[in-house]
Amino acid sequence: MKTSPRIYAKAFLSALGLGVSEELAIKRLKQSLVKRGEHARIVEVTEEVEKLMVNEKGGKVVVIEFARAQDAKARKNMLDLFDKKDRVITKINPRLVAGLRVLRDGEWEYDMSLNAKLEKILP
Amino acid sequence: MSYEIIEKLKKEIAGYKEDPKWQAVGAVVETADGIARVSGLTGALSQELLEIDTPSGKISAIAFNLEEESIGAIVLDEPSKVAVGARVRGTGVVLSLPVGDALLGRVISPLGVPVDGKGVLVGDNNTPLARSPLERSAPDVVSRESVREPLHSGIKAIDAMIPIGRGQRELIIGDRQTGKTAIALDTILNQKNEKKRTICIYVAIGQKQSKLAQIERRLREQGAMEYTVIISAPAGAPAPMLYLAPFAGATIGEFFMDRGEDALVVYDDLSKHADAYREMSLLLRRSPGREAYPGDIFYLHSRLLERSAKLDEAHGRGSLTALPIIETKLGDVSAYIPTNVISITDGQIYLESDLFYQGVRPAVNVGLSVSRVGSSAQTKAMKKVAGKLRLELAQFRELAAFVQFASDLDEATRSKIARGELLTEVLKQADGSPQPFYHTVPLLYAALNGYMDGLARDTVRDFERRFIEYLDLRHKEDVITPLADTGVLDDKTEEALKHAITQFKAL
Repeated sequence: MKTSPRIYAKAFLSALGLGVSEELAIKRLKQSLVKRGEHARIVEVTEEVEKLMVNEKGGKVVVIEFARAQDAKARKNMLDLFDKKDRVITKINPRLVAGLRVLRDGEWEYDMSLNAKLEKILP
Repeated sequence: MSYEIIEKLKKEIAGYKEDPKWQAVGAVVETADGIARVSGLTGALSQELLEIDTPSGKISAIAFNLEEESIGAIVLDEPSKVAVGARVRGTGVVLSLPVGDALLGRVISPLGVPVDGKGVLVGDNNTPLARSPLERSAPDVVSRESVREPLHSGIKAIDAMIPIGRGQRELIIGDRQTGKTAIALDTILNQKNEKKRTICIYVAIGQKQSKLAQIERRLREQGAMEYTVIISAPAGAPAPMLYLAPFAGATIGEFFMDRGEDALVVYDDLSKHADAYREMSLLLRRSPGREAYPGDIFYLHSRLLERSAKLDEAHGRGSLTALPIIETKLGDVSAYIPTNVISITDGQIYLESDLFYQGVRPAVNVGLSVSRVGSSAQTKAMKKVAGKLRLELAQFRELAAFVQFASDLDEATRSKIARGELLTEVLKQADGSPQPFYHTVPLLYAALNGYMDGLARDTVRDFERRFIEYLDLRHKEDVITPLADTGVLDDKTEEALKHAITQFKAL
């Protein structure tokens, strides 16, 4: 039975909370993943660690997908809408056609893309 | 035409109201063998329909296992399209199927998609069909009434000794190649002869495509597709399709039952259904139990078969009769799935390989076959005539071992053996030729009352054919029509029948 990334992330953070040094905690996390044959999930675990750390400080992990690259000013305007505690990641996704899509903590989505609108009009 | 399409599109765009809102989503973290493990979507419902984003569009899945950290979902499309990281959305609805009269004569997948190349399913005035959920609670006790109307199978041995009532669940069980499907198909074909039309649903679970094509052709050629729907989940379909197929059949049957009509659903077969469910359960890492089936395998079949019912007057008096089929291995009825389904159903028709190879077809083992509620639904005329048939055959079976010493036996034993042999011959019936009950009743009357005694075994078939032709030609008014209309063999009709048999024998 595979262990979920959230369990690894919680264990990692609680180790840090107990005073284990960062290097040792990272080393043991990697050893644990290799031992269980789940080393390919390191990215998922890292994302989960990041999410829990941001959540702990009262922030959210926000992924904003744009249909095309934004100029610096537009990007700054968008980032200014979020709290300083939030971790904001931007990505380019041409499949959106136009507009943008926001993902909060990997669990909530706000879709304002043209692709979503077209799918609603022409299901 | 193109102008109309453009206008419709313009209308759709003009009427579009933007209403973006936060929506719960998840992500695929693992996928294999038609199963996707999804993280997130913590508020998903059991059996909720999910949508998975793929490069070629959205595909559907069903939330099956709700676990602490993830959801085990079964993918309802090509599983190879699903990639790790794909976004998953809940829809808030459970899986449903289009239902309506437009389904009659069609072959559809368990998801309600036509697979016969005859176009999309549309209702009256090109409106979309209403949808009905695949999983629904069975009718409660209050809305049911007891089974008391007959559903004639057209098979002499069954209508006479193992009668089936509308709303009953009668299991057809036997080894491979013993004629299980043939009995179900004959029952469907026989509905053409019935005054009260029964809608038939044939659910093919894990059957070969070639066999299904043959069945469809046969039903179409004999005019039975007009009142039949076929649900196809062939052997090559993914396990979730095989799992869903009988529920789709029950859903369609319930649609007609709720309208006050009678429906018959054939599940061919539930052994393969149980195997598909076992495969899914093991892939979902549910604990295996006996024969590696999951713990809820009994509940799977009981909740499916409990949906068969005869509704009371307040609910329209519709009915849903079920004929589940189970394939046994080397005649072992005490295996796990056969005993489960035997205990759920209201009786079983047991087919035996030995009888089949002896030429007794349908190969019904009368001793082991039973109908627990059907006798109260049996047509009165049939009940009156065939009452002693089971006893006569049972006595014959006891004496059958002495057949080869017949010359050394006393007269009474010899006559019992002769009568048993005659009745066995009379009950033989060719595949695909169901017989209406108003023909079976006079024939059995003649056989059981000594009118056919002394007839050579190889002439019984010919006697039967000529006798029925004779009754149809000369005694339609006084024998056949009263029987067909009332279902009762009253004194007047009985006298006319006796007279007709005497006249026929004198010819």
